[in-house]
Amino acid sequence: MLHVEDLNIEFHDHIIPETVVYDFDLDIESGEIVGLVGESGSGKSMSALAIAGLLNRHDARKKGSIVFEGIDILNCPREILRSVQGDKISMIFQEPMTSLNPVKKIGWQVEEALRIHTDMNKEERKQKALEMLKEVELDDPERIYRSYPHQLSGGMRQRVMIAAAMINSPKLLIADEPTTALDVTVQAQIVSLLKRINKEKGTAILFISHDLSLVRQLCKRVIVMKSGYIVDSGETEEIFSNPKHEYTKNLISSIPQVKLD
Amino acid sequence: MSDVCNNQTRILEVKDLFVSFTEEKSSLFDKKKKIDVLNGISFDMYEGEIVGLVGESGCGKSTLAKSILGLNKITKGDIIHYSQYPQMIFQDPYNSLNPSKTIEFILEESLKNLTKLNVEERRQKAKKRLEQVGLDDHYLIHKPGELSGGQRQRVCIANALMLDPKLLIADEPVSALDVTIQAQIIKLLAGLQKELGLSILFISHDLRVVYELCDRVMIMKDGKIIEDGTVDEVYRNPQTDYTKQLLLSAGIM
Amino acid sequence: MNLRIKKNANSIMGIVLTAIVVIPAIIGIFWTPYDPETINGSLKLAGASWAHPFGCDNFGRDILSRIMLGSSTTFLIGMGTVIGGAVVGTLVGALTGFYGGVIDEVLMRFNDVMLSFPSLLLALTFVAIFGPGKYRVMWALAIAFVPSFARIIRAEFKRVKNMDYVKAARLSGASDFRIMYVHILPNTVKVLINAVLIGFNNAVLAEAGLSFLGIGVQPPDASLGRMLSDSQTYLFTKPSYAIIPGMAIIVMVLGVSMIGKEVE
Repeated sequence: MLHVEDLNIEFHDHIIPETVVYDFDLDIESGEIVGLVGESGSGKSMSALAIAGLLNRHDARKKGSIVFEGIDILNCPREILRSVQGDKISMIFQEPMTSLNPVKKIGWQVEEALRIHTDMNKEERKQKALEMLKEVELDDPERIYRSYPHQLSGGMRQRVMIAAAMINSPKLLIADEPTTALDVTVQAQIVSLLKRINKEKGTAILFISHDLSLVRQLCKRVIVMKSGYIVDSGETEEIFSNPKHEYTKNLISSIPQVKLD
Repeated sequence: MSDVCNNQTRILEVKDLFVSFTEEKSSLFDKKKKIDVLNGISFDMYEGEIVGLVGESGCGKSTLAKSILGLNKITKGDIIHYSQYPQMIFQDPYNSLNPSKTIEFILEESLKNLTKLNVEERRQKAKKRLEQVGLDDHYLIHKPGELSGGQRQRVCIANALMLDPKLLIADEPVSALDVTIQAQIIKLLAGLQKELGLSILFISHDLRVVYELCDRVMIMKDGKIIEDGTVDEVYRNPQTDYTKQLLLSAGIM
Repeated sequence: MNLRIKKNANSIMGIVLTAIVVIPAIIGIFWTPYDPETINGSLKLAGASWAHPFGCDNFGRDILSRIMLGSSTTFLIGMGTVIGGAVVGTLVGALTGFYGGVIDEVLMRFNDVMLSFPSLLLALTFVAIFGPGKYRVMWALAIAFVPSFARIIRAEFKRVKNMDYVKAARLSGASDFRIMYVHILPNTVKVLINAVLIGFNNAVLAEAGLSFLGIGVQPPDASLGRMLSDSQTYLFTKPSYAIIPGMAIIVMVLGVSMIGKEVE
C-alpha cells in the first residue's frame, strides 16, 4: 500500500544544506501497525511528514520515492496530494494542545475533512461527527461537539484528534508521538484505542515514538532510526530478543525494568 | 504513616499542608475563585532516602515541591527543614538555565550569594561538581544554548549540588529527555546519592523509573497522599484502586 | 542570549543607509564646511555649485552644513528620547512586572491612560507645558515614550519571572534586586533593543512633526524638521531645499528599521 524507497531529505533554509534523513526505506501493507523509534532529531518525524506530504516543497529537497496506492506523493500535482490528505492518509500529533484550533468548536474541527472531501450536508456531517466522537470512547458526544478545545483535558483532546483523523476512514494513520504528552494511565487508554481502531477498521498505522516498550505493546514490526539512518528494522519481538545495532541494544537496556520477586 | 527508616535522622517534616490558589479574575467584577491544590499533606523524609512521588499531571506534585522549597505561599500547615539549602532540579532543562549566562556564572551564583569563597575557590568547586556529573571543565565557558538536553540536565544537577545540600527535590527530571539519556541521568542520580549521602524527593509519573531509583514511594491524587510505603510493598500489594490502575497502565501488574 | 545582527542583504543595506545620514551628522557636531548660521544675502536660494553642493537656503546659509548640523540635532533628540524613555520605562516595567499587586495595578492603569493618547499628542502637551527648544523637546518626547517601554518591559519581566532558572536563582540565595538586574534583565535585552530601534524612529518622526509645526526646535538651531518647515514657502521655487532634509529623515528611519528587523 505504501512504498518508500531511498528517501533522502535535505533542508535548504540555511547556507549549508543539511541532510536529516538518509536512504529511508519503508513498506506498509494495509492493516499493519509499524513502529518508528528514535531519539529527538533522529529524523523520524521528518520522514513521517514527508510521507504525509506535509513537508514544504521549497525548503526541503527530497530524493527517492514515496508511492501511496499508486500515487507519487513527492511529485504529484498539489490537487491530487490534497485529495489524498485527510481522506486516505491522515495524521495525529504529539501536542493535543496546539494541534486543535483554539477558537473553533470541536464539532467544526472533527467535520473539517468531511467538508473538504465529501458533499454531505450539515446534518449528515453532524451525525457522522457524533458517531466518530462516540467511536473514540468519549462520553456525552453532544456536549463535546459543542465544546472548545480548552474545555477538554489532554487525553480528551487527543481522542478528538483521533476522531477527526479517522472520520473519512483513511487507509493510513500516521501517529507522531501521540501519547508522549499524556499521563501514563491516559497513554495506556490511547494505545488500546489505536489498537481497536486498527482491528475494527483495518487502518494501517505508522506509530512514531521514542518509547520502545510502548511500541512493543502495539506494533508487530519496528524500524529504529538514529541520526537520519535506519539502523535496525524487523519483527518487534525479533528485535527485542536479538538487536543487531549497538544503538538498539542501548535503547532496549534503557527501558526501566520492574522485577517483582 | 510508613515505618521505614524510623531509626534515622529526619531531614524534612511536612505537617498537614494545605495550599490553595486564587484564580486570576477575568473581569473586574468577577469573584475570585479559590482552587485547592494540596489538601492536608503530611510526611517525613529521612537522611539518605530516595522517595518517589507519583501522580498524574494536576494532582499537585509540583506545587508540593515548590511549597517545600518556599517558592510559593502555603495556606496552612508546617514545613520543617532539618538541613540547609535544599535544592531543586526542574523538569524542563531548556528553561531551567539562564540562557544569557555562562555555565560558570550559573554554577557560582549561589556561592557568590551565600558563601565567602574567593574567585579561585569558587571555580575549583564548580569544576569539581561538573566532573561529578560527568562533564569536563571546558563546559564552564559555554552558554546553555550550546548544550544538549542531557548535558543541560547534568549542569542543573551540578548546580543543585553547589551548596552541598542534604535534600534534593527532583521534579520530573527525566521526562523531557530521550529514553537513553533518561537512563544515564537516573544512573547519575543514584550514584551521586550514594557518594554524597543525599536525600532525594523524586517526582515522576513513571512508576518504572521510580522502581529503579527509589526506596520508598508515595502516590498522590487530588492533592492528597493516598499511599505511602516501600516500593516493594506498594508495587506488590497496592491498597487503592488508583494505584492498581497506575501499575496496570505502566504494564507492571 | 547572544545579540547579533544577521548578516544578510537587508542588514547591510540598513547599516549603509543609517551611516549615510549618521556619519555626516556626527561630523556635523564638530565641523561643518561653512558656519550653518551665517547669513549671506548674496547667496539667497543659490543653486547647487562646487562650493555649495546642495545650494543655499532663503537666508543664504549653506544647506549641506545645515543638513549636517540638523541631522545631528535630530539624531541626538532621537537618541536622548529613547534612552530616557527606555531607562525610566524599564525601571517602571521591571518593578511592576516583578512585584505585581497593587503598585502594578495603579501604575499600569495610569500607563493605559497615557498610552491611549498618540505619543505626538502627548509630546505636544508637554511642549505646551515646558515651552519649545531643543532640550525641552527631548524631555517632552522622553516622557511621552515612557509608557510604551514600561508596557513592553513589564510583559517581558512577567514572562521571564516564571522561568525555572529564576526559581533556581532564588534557591541559590539571590536577592530580589539581583534577580531583577542580573537574572531577568539580560534576557529582556533582545526585546528592549527592538523597542529602542522602533522608538528611535518614532522619536525622529515626532521631532520632525513638532518642529514642522513650529513648536519644536527653535531658530537659529537647525533640525531636519525645522528645515522642512522653513522650506515650505519655497517648495516650488527651490524644491531641493525641502527634498534634501526629507530624504535625510526617510533614509535614517528606513536604515534603522532595516537593522531592527535583523537583530536576533
